[in-house]
Amino acid sequence: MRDALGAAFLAVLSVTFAVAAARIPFETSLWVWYTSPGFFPLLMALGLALFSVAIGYRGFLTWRTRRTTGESPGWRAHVRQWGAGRLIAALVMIGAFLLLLGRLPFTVASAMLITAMTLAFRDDSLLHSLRAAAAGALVIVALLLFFTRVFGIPLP
Amino acid sequence: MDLGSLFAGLWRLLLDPLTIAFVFVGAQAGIIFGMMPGLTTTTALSLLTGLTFSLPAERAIAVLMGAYVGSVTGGSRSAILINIPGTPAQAAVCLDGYPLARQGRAAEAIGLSVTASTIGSLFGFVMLALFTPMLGALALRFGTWEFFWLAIVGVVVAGGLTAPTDPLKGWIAGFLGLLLATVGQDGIHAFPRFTLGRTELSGGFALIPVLIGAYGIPEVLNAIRKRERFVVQTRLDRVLPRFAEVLVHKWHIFRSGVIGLIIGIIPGVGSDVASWISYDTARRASRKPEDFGKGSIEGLIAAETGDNACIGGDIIPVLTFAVPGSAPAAVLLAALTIHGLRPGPLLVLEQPHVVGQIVAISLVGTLAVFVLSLLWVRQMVRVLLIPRSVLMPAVFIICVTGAYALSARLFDVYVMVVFGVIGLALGELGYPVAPLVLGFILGPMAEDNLRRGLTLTGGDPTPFLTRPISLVLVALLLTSVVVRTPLPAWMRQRVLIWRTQARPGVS
Repeated sequence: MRDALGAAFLAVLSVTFAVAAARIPFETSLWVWYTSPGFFPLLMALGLALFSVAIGYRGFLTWRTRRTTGESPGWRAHVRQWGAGRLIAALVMIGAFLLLLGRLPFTVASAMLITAMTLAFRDDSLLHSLRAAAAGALVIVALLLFFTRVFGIPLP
Repeated sequence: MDLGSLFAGLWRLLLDPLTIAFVFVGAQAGIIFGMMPGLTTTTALSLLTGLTFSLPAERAIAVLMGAYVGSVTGGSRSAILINIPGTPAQAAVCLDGYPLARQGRAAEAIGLSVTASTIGSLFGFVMLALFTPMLGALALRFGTWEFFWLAIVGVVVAGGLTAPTDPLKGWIAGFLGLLLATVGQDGIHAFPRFTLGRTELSGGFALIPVLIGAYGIPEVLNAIRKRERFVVQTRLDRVLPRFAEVLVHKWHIFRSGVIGLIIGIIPGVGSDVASWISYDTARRASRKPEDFGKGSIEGLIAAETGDNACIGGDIIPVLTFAVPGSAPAAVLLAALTIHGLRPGPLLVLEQPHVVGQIVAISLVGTLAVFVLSLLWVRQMVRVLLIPRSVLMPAVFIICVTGAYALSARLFDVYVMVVFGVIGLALGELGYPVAPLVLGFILGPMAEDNLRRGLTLTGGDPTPFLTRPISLVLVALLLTSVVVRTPLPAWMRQRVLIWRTQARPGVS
């Protein structure tokens, strides 16, 4: 099923690119078909679409075989075991961090992210994690200041 | 290479202690990155490329080459001490390094590993110095048609080798990379393609954010979603170099060095493949193959020599053809371009002193890693004790800094995150990331040369299929596809029946 879903997404993506590429004129006063800006992306999109259909068909056959033999993957348990909850939480925190960029100093936003993630994903006691978060935030702020002063790196 | 260029490069380096200091800084950073499971050599180089953007070219390359050697070597620390490879290149080192550590011989294993890595790196860089001018001369015979096929062959071969059980997924990743490289203004008419009306996309996706995103962000996210705990053996005796013990296995070293070098030259395939093939070849050639996997010194030496010799091999096609031999080499290619150098046949011809400098820096980098690996090993091992919940957000922040540093655009940070999610999704679906990145890098080369080749012949594609070197590349492409494509079930059945009829009694 994963193969079929992945292939479906890739097929949609390649068709989108193919349609957009086909809309670029192939012949104008400035170029002919083989120098057209749409020529190469159209070829690549068609190739990708072809491969995606092949993978999708193969994935569909596998899924149908498993359904026929009665195999039940138990996708909810699998998703939980895979760590989807932690991943979503991490992505939410990263999204919040990105929103804060430009609104807060980068060093402050970085310290907040480290603290939030250390506490949210801790494997230790709260006190230990707070200490680790404080140490991590201090180190990263020092490192960022080092990058700006020594290497002249601009911060967001 | 004429030795004059190499010695001139070495002499110039020795007169510039600040550049040597930058080599050591890069080497130390590389060792630490290499030690941390999940932080790959590519991530280290991508971050450092962004962070060293404002440095002069020579010093930036000094940091990068030191980090390149350091991260490939440093990965063996965690492979030996916690049975988790620091970078994919050290996966084979786990098989014999960790058993040695469990036997109380961790210091010995690290000493052997560092020594073998140093010898492998030196071998690779000496070959780099010898082969680069030869291949540079060959590259001058390549025309626009050959460079087109070289790009396609690189992507297809990388796709097949990085997804050996399912090459179709590797090729899909490669085509996706080639397609994503077309976003932005095209190289000939500056016509905006797939930009959605956004000026930020008119230049396409910047390479460094794509690399950091594709390689670094999935590792950060995967480390956070998995609840992994490491048990680290921090009790280490003094770590000493083991030249006498290592050189007893000189044939394993030589064989692994050659394997690493050849694997490095093949586009898209990196140190991890070199390490495994070297290990497997050593096991087959060994008088005691039964010891492999239980603490065999031969296995440890072969794996380490192979993955380090690969570094020199990776750089050879970068300098001669501007085609990366691996993902870290792709970052190096990007860094050289960012600093105003033009890798390719003309670099070797017109600026041999640049090649000499790179080789000289690489040799000094190898020695820097050797010294640092032996000096600070007990202190560096403590880095492994940092909780992942603290380390991974810190790595993410460094990734953001690296992505932003090049052009001071928040858009690049968003690109990094998007490619990070793409890399994570591809990894979970079984698609390798290396062909995607290689396709992204080689896409402009493929497209520009295809269009240029057709322009030169007025639309006639015949030279693409009739020029001698093009024919060789097409044959290589077809062989790679045919060899990797599994037969359909009905054909496999027919072959089986034919074999049974041809040789009765043998299945």
